[in-house]
Amino acid sequence: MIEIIPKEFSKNKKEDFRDYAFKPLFQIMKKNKKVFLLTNDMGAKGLDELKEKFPKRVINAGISEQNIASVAGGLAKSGNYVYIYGIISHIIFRSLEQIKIDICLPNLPVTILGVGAGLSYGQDGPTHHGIEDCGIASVLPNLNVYNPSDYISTYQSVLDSYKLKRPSYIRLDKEKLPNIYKKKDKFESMKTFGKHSQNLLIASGISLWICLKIREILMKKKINFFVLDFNKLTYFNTSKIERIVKKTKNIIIVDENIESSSIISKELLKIKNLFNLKNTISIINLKKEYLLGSSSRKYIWNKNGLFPKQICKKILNRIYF
Amino acid sequence: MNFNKKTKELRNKILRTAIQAGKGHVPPAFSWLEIGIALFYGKILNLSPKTKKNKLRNRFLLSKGHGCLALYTILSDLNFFSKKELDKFAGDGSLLAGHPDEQIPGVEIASGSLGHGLGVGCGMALSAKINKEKWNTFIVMGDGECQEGSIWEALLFASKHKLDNLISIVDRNKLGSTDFTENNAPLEPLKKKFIDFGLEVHEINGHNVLSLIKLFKKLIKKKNNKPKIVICNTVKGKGVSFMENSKFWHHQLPTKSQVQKAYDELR
Repeated sequence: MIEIIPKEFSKNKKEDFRDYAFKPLFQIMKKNKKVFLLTNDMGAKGLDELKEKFPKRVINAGISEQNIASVAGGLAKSGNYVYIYGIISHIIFRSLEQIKIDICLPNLPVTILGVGAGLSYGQDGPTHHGIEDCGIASVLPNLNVYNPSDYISTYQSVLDSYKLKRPSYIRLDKEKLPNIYKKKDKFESMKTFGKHSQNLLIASGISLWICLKIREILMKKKINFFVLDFNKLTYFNTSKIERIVKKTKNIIIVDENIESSSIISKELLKIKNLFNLKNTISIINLKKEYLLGSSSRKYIWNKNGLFPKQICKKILNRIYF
Repeated sequence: MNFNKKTKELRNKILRTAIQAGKGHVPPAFSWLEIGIALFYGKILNLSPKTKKNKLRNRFLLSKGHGCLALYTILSDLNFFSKKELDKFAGDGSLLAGHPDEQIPGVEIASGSLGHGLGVGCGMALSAKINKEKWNTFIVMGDGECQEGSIWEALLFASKHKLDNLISIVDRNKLGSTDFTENNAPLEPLKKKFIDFGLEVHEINGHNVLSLIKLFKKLIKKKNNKPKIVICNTVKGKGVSFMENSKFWHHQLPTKSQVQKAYDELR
C-alpha cells in the first residue's frame, strides 16, 4: 500500500474498485434482461455474485480477448448492452482492432471494465502495467474513457456510461482507497477541490490522491493550491477547462501514465495554445519506457518523483515555477 | 429463376463496375458469387429492402470484405440501393468503398480487416439463441482469413455455446492475397480441424448454386446444437481463364487488351 493512503483503511477494507463497478452492474442486470457481461477468465468476488444471479448472461469466454470484443459487438448489434471485464493491458491492447471496428465504428453500447489502471499491477511487470492505454483508447472515435479515482466515482462512471449507451472504457485501479467523492454527488466529467487560487494541480484517477496530499502539505506552509480532477479523458468541455485555467498562474499536472499517454497533459497544452494563455505548466508523469523487472508502485513512484513529498520539495525549491 | 443467367449477368456487372472505377478486387468477388446468389436469390436469407431493419431478419455478414463487389452488385440488383450508386463505386463521396461498411443498405457490419465477422456473428447468434428468436446468422469468410487466430477463438466459442443458428461458409479458393494458403500458413486438413473444433462440417462445390441452396435449406432446419460450417471449394477469378487460380490476380485489373478477352469469356 502506498503511503498516501491511511494504513488502517487498507487493512480493514475488503472491497475494491472492481466491487464498486459490479455493484451498479448488478442493479442494471437485474432491471434489464438484455445486459450481458463477458470476461476473459478473470475472477472477482463481485463477479461471482453476478455469475450466480445471472448465469446465462455472465459469460466466461475463456482467454480470447479478440473474440470477446467481436462477440460483444455482435450482441450489442442485436439489441443488447454488453460489458467486458478483463485486465487493461490484455483487453485493450490484444483486441484493439476489434474494439475499433466491431464496437466503436458502429457506435455500440459496449462498456469495457479494465482492471489494473496505471501501476496497479506493479510487481507483475510490464506485461501487466496500464500506463499506455489512455493514449491508445482516447484516440478512438466514439469511445468514452473514464478514469475514476475512488469507489464512488467508479460507481457513478458505470451508471453514466450505461445512460450514454455508447462505447465506453472504465479504468479500474486495484488499490484499496477511502472515498473522496460523496454519494450524493452527481457524476461530473471533471470536478475541482478546494478554493480556487492562482495555483492549480491537475489529476486523474489515482493521481487525485497525490494532488490532494500535496495540497494538504502546502496549505500548512501557507501556499494555496486547488485541484482539478478529470473523471473522463475524452470529449472534454474545453470552454469549462479554459474558464478554470485562465484564472490561474501556475499549473502542475500529475499523471500516472507515460508521457505519450498523458491525455490530460495534451489537453491542457492544447488549451494553453488555443487561448494563448500565459500559465506555466509543469507535467509530472512516467518516462516513456517499459519498466522491466519487479517494481512496486511505491518503488516506481519514488523513481519517477511522483510522491507528494518529492513534488512538494520541488515546488518549495521553485523548480517548477 | 435461371441461376446461370443471373450469374453471368452479375459477373459482367462486377467486371464492368471495377473497370469503370479503375479499382476493385474482381477475382475474390468472382470466387464467392454463386454462394451469394444462392443465399440472396435462393430464398435462404429472405432479405429485401423492406425487411432489412426487421429485428427477426436473418443476418448476413461478408467477413471477407474485399469480395464486396459481388455483394454490391447483388444488393443493387435487389434494389437495396440504386443502380446509379453502383456506378459510383469507389468514387469520392460514394456510398460504396473498396470495402463495405454498415451505412450501405443491406450491409450489417464494416469488414475489410479479416477475422472479425465470425466473432461478431457468434454474438448475434448467441443473442438470437438466448432470446429464443428463430433467425439465423450466415457468414462468408475467406480461406486465407482462416489463418487469423481470431477465427479459431470464435470457433471455440461457437462450439461451447452450441450455436446451431450460425452457418459459416468458407470460400476455399486456396489462395490468399499473394500466394497459395498452403505455401505460407497451411490450413489442411481443414475439414478435420473444423470437426475437431466441434462443428458440423460440409464440403461442396461453391459454384453450383442449386446444390448450395439445397444444402443451406437443410442446415437451416437442422437444430442439433452444433454450429455449421460449409467448405465451399471455389476458383478464385472464376469465369476468366487468365485470372482463375492465379496468385497474381487479387486486386489488379485487366489491361485494355485483356478486358475484351475477359468480357468474351463471360458471355
